[in-house]
Amino acid sequence: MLLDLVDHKESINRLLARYGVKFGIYKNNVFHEQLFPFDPIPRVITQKEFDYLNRGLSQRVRALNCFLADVYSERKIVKDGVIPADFIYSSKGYLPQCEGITPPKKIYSHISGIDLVQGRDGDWYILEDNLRIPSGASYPMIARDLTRQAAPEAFTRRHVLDNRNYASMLRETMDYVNTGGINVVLTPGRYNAAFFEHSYLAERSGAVLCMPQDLAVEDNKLYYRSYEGKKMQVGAVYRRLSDEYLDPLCFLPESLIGVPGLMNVYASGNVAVINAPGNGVADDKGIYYFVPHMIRYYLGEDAILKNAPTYLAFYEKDRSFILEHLNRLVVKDVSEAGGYGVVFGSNLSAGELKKLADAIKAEPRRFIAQEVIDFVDLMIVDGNEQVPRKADLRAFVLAGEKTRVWPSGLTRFSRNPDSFVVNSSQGGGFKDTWVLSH
Amino acid sequence: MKVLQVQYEMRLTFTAPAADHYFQFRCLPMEDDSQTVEKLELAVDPACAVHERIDGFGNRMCYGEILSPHDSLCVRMGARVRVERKPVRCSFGKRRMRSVSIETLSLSIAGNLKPESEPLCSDTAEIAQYPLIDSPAGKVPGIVYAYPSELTRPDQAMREWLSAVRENYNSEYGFPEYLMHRLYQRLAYVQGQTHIGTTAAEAFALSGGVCQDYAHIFAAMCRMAGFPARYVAGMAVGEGATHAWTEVWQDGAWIAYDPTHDCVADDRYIKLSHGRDFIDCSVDRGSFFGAGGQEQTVYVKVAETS
Repeated sequence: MLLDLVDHKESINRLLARYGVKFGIYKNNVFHEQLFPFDPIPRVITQKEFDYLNRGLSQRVRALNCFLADVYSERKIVKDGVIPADFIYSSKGYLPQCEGITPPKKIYSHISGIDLVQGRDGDWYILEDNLRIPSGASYPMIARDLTRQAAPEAFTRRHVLDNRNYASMLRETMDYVNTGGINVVLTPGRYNAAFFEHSYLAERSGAVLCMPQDLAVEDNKLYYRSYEGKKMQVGAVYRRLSDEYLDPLCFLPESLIGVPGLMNVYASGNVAVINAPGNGVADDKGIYYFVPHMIRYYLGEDAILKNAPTYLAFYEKDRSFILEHLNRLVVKDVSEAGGYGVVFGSNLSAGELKKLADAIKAEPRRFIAQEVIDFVDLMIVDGNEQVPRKADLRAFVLAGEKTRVWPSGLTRFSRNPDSFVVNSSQGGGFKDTWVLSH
Repeated sequence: MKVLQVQYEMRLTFTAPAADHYFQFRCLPMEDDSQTVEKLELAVDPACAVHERIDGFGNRMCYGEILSPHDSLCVRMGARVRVERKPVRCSFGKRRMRSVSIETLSLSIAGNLKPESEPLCSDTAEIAQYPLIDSPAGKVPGIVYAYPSELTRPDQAMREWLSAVRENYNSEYGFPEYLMHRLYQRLAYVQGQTHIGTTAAEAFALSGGVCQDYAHIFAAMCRMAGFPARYVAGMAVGEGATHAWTEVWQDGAWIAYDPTHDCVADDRYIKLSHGRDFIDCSVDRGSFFGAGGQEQTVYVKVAETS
């Protein structure tokens, strides 16, 4: 099965390189652009399985949106003792500047990237939620496009849902919260890791790609100033700039990028910012533990999708369990992202284990530990053979009038046979994700 | 109760015209339980539209922009404010805050005073959290002030100093008061050695600074000792510039201490804003394009009218 696609590996990767489908990383303060290696064998998800994922992921994102709205207004979930205050208010992702701001249509996480894996038992487990500026949707979009060009016959015989509708889903998401004016994709520029994606998504969704200096606040509204000097009001900003650089008058005063006064316009309800600033409080690795509780609290439902079994060093009982089983757990530093700060106990020497244990004891709030999930391997093409590699799935959940999952997703795999870390910043590759129509 | 007449004027002069100038002010007196603003005037020159909103910390913020080239920006605020800091209520009905003048505190605190009956909170997790969470919706809950911030993150030297102070603590004063007094002895008021971006740890290492540094260091120390504390920007009678002090969550209420003067802030203080540290409370903040330099002058006057 799917052997017809294997032959196209080289040609599609060549096309991806030509289209500039690159991923930038900073290493020792030097910017490198590297290709994001594409593997031609897609991950295939049946319609029935996708229905299940769709229900589970939409439920999760609905609850996370309720949580964000609650945190920045009435904080009932804290008062009711469901989540300890410490986990919210000592989190780096909690931004007090966002208190009392109600985003248009009360949506905080418009575009969520939820990472999950399928265990050998067939069950799916959520690994983490990305509610700030999750990247990656553009890769399967363009890979699908190129694969269809290279091997059109592969799609005539198989019933694969088209994933090129991401652009229209994105556009609907922006339009739904737009307060009047154009949609823009705000990029920090071409030295950003995901610049390819910014330009591609803007082009495909019909939004204007702009840099911070193209936007300006005037009389409590946001405007785009085109190269020709034309001024247009902006109703929705899909910003690919992190919170702290968004507005030097509100966040980092020394930030040279950003749009001065943007937060005032946003707080006044005169522009939608996608995703809302301050979302980091909900995708903190510590808060992850509480998501199933949130689902029950806000929606009165049981979580459809499972979390990986997780222990919080913050709780004394969990802490002693973690310290006892350190050599078989994976320990994550909640303040790190992108696959950094993830340690597998089984890879550590006795000395390193001791050091990690001491760090956990000194700052328990900073660490969570999880059971290592034995997730399924997917086959990848390696030279002339096919070899199994660990892979996860980043599903994109879009919240507009309804919350729904894009029928595709970014499947990332580790190129290293011994590694479980699939992040593209750690040198992994990607696959297309096919959702079948039956 | 006092009625204070306040004037604030900030003038920014550019050596070459500035444009695309965005400004943001937190220079209006706060309206809260202890301050009533009876009269308020605000003028901006060059004239422009000024918008107002309440920021996440609950502060009044004015903002606007001047896009065309201009040589200066002047903001003038005048207000009459009735200040009546309520006698501090304590939630457990055990202790009452004394009104402490500088003189009484200057007396030595040592001596055969009875030990503090209540244990100190050693860990923010032990703080009775509910009252700190139950602040009005949309404003930061008090617990936010229990954690270190950018400018108030303590270092080892501060931790060691605090633990020595705690060991010697044996006083009829509440711990924050005692701490303030010890800090006053430890620090010297020195202008020019610190700047607006100086952290509490840096100022502590220099053993002094200005009111901003005192307020930062004291807030950082209180937080470490388990008392949430917030930085306050304001003005006070007798100060020729804006002033800064600290409010400490103690016995279920925010108590205003002025660590620069080693006293409790009374009705001669006007509060403009509060936050985790100076960054949250900056009286003026802005950004502009210009080829030249800038010079800023600030004039502040607070006078008692009754």
